[in-house]
Amino acid sequence: MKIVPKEAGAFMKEKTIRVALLGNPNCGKTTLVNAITGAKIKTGNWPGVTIEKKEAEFISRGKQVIFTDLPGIYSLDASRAEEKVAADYLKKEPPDIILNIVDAGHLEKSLYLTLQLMEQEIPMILVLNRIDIMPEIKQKVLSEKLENLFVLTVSATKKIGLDELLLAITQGKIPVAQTDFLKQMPYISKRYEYIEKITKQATENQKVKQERTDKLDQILTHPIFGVPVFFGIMALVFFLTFRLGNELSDVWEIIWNGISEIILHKLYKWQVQYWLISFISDGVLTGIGSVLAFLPNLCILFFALAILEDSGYMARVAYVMDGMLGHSLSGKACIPMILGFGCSVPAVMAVRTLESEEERKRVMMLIPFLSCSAKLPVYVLFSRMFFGKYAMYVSYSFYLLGIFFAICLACLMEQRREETRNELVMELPEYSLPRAENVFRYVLEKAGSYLKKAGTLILLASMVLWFFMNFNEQGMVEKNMSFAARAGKNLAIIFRPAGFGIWQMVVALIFGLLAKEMIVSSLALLYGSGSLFTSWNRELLKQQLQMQGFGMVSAYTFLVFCLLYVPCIATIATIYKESGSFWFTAKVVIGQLFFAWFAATFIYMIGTGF
Amino acid sequence: MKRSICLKNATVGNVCEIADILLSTKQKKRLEVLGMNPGVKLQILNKKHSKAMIVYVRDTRFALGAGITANILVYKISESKG
Repeated sequence: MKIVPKEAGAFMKEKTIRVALLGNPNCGKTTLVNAITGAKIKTGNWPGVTIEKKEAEFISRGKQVIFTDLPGIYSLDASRAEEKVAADYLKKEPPDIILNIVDAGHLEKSLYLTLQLMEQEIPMILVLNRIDIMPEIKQKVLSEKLENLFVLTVSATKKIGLDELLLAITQGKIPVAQTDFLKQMPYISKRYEYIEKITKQATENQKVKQERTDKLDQILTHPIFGVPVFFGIMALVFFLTFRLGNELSDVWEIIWNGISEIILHKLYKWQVQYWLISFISDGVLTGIGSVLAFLPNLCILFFALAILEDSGYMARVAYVMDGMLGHSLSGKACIPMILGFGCSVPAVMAVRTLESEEERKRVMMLIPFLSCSAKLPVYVLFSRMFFGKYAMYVSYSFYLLGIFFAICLACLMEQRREETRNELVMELPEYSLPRAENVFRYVLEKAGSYLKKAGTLILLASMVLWFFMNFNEQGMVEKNMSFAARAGKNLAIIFRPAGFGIWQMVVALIFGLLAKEMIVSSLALLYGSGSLFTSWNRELLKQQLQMQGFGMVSAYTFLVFCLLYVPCIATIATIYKESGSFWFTAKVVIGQLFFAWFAATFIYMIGTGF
Repeated sequence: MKRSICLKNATVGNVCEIADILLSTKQKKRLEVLGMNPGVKLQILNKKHSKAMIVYVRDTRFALGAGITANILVYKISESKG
C-alpha cells in the first residue's frame, strides 16, 4: 500500500531518503508516520494492527523522505510472519535510516529489539515515543549506555518533537551504532540483564500509572463475568447501530429521495427514452439507493468498533475468549475473528500473525461465519420488514448465531498434531481514552470504502442485473421471462426445503456473492419496489414476498443462509491468496454452501413443525 | 533451598520469580525475547479457571494461555500486590 499526500508529488526531488520504522507492536509507529506525513494509515490500541509494510512520503527541506511502516515485532528472529516481513525488508531493501520506535512506558521490554537493530549496521535513531507519559526519562543515559546511539524523544499523538526528528533525518548525519559491546552478550538473558541496568538508571524514580488499567481489568477480564461483559458490549454496540442508525436513516431517506426526484424530474423534462429512464430509475437509483439506505447504521457500527479498538479493549477479547474456541484454537485466533465483524478481507489477511499453518487455515474457515458489516443491511431490512418490535433482537441473534456456529465448528475441528496448537502469548496495552482523530479516521475510511463500493461494484452489478432481469435473447421482456428469471427458477428448487425457493431470492443470493449488500439492492430491483429507503417501499416488498408464501420463518432461514453461505468474492480471493491452495479455498466455499443450506433447512423444519 | 511451583498454581497478587521454562525451544525463545527468562520477577494480575493468566513482567502486561502457564516453573516471592 502506498500513501502519497498531495503536496509530496508536486516537487522535483533532489534526494530520496528511505526511512524504515521498526519497533514492538503497538508502540506508535503508524501514529508517528501519520503525524509526520499526514497519511491516514489505520491505527489501533492493540498489537498487530499493521500486518504488512506500508509506505508514506513526505517532502522536508527539499528532500523526499519515504517512510516504511513495518509490522510490530519483538525480535528479528524471523520465526513469525510479521518478523519475517521486517527481517526480509532490512535484508533485501536496506533503508538509509532506521527509526527504532520505543514506547517510553515499556522501555525495558522494547530495548531487546533495539540491540538487534543496532547490529544491522544501518544508521539508526532511537525514537522514544509517548514521552508525555514519561517526561523525566533520561535520554542522555540511554544514549551513553548504548554507545552514543542517537536518541530523540517525541510524542506522536501530541505531535511533540517531530520537527527535531525530521531535521535529524534530513541532515543525514546519523552514525551507524557501535556494537562491539554486544559481542560479549550472545544470549538473550545476558542482553536483558544489560537492558535492566540501563533502564533502571534512565527511569529512576519513575513509574507509569496503571491503576486505571488494573481497575478496568478487574471487570472486563473477570474470570466469570469477562465473557458476559463481552457479549454485553457487543449487544450495546448493536443496540446503538440499530436504534440510532435507524433514526439517522430517516433523515438520510429525505435527502436521497430529494436527489432521486430531482434526477427523475429532469429526465422526464428532457423527454429521455423510456428504457433509459427505467435503467436510471430501476437500475442505478434503486440499486445504489437501497445500499446507501444503511450507511447510517454502518457508520454507527464503525464508530463503536473504532472506540473499542482505540480503548485497548479488543486485545483483551483474545484473553477473555481463550479456551472458548476449543482446544484447537488459541485466544489469539480471536483477533482476526473480531476483525471479521468489520470486514472479512482484512480479517483473513490478519491470520498471517498466527504461527501454525493448521491454525491459520482453521481460522480462515471460521471467519466467514461471522457477521461482517456488509451483512448488516440484509439483517436490518428483513428484520424490520418481518419482525416488527423484535427486529433489533432478531438482527442481534445473527451475530450470536455466527459466533455460536464458529465456536461449534472450532470445537469439532480435529486437532491433528499437538505442536500445531498456538498458545496465547500476547501483550496487552494499557487502556486509554479513544482519540477523536483515530475514531474519525476509522469511520471516514470505512464509510468511504462503503460509498466507493456502492459507486463502483454495486453500481456496475446493479446495471448488469438490470440487463439480466429485463432482457432475454428476444430483447426487452417481462421480468418473469428474463435471463435472470430463467436461471433463478432452475435453481429455486434447491432452496424450497429451506423455505425460500423463490427465483428472485436465488438471483439476489447469486449477486450477493459480489458483495453481500447486493442482496438488498438486487431484491429492490427484482421486485421493482424502488429504493428501500422508505417504509412504504419496504412494505411493498414485504407484501410481494408474502404473496409468494415468504413469511416470518422463511425470512429467518433466509437470513441464516445469508449469514453462513459463501463469503463475497473479495474474501474468497483473499483466502486463496493467504492459503495458497485452490483446494482449500474450494473446500471452504463448498463446505459453507452445504453448511448454510443444512442449517437453514433444519431451522425451517423446526419453525414450521416439520 | 527454594521450592518451585507451576505458574498455573500461583494466585492473583502473587509476585514470583521465573525458575525454569519447560516449553519447546521455539516457545521458550519466544518468551525470552519478550523478557520472560529465568530470574525475572512477574506479578499475577488475573487468572481464569482454565489457568490462563495476565501477568505483569518488565512494565508490560502479557496474556498467557493455559498451555504456557502450565509449563513455567516459578518461585513464589510474595503474596501481596506491588
